[in-house]
Amino acid sequence: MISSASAAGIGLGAYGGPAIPIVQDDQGNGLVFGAKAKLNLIPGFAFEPNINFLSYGDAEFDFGTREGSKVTYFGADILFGGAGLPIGPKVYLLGGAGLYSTSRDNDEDASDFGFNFGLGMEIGIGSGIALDIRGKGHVIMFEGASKKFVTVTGGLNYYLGY
Amino acid sequence: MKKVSAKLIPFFGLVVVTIFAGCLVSGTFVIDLDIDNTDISTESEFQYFIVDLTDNEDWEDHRDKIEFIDNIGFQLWVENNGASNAGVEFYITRDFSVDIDNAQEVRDNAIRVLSGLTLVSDDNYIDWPTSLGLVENLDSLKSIVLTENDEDTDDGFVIYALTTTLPFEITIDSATVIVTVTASE
Repeated sequence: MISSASAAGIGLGAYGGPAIPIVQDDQGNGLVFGAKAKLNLIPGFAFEPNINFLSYGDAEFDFGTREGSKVTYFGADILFGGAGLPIGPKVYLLGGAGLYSTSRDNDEDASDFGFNFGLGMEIGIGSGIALDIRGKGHVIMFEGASKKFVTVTGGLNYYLGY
Repeated sequence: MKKVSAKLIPFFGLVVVTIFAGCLVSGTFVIDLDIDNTDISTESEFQYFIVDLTDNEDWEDHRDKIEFIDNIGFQLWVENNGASNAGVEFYITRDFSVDIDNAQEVRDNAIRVLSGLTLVSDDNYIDWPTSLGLVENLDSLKSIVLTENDEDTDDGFVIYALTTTLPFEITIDSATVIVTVTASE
């Protein structure tokens, strides 16, 4: 079992959950969905390219409602302590960077570099499948300032060749 | 490996808290300034109102930390007193030195920042998202509004409402100017 888990070098995952803007009055709470590959580089480290689709909720004010933005971001994360199919729960740290493309009616489209960091837990549930829960903070660098949000996602990882 | 991970978690947590503590004093803010009918003046060919954001508490809270303006919109209640539809345009200037007496002088001395608005012959309401789609020359508009932030200049800028044809038969009952800014320490 341990041998098989160690051999699980490539995984695929899908996930989703809430996205919460941080001090962005013009965005409401939204949802994010994404998919990723998980490549176990060396013991203890994994590399995760990922693609994500975020839709903020509407921002409501006394004087009107503004539709939330849509953000598509491609990124790559490094997981520290999260490589391989876990046997039972395993906590890991992660950090990464990506390109965040933001669009909304009547706003100029923008593509900006950003980075993220977070903490997660992966729980092996057998047959090469693991439950993956993580929280991430995102910072998009934007015209000398930044836009920030938090995502809390849950999903499943499937390890090939297990 | 697990021991190293465990030791790093508090450090990582500290980094997270530090970055997000910064968020508490930086972000995107939506500021609204109501203009009621007592602040709106009427000339024979146009109406105008003066916007002084320095009167606004939210603007004052953020004015020294504004990095950029995200967008500017309006909420409007307008009556078209004519018998047919009327096209309306907004112009802006912060030059108080020029006497403006008619619509042509508005066009010659101010910058058009909103067009394409058609009012039916009745009461009209233009909401914020709709106005965002009608705003033009946004960079000039942002520049003028940000100049408002310069303590060496007079406070306020003027917004003129014209119709694309005369006679001028509209009445702005009230307006709200809505400015979205990104500000940081």
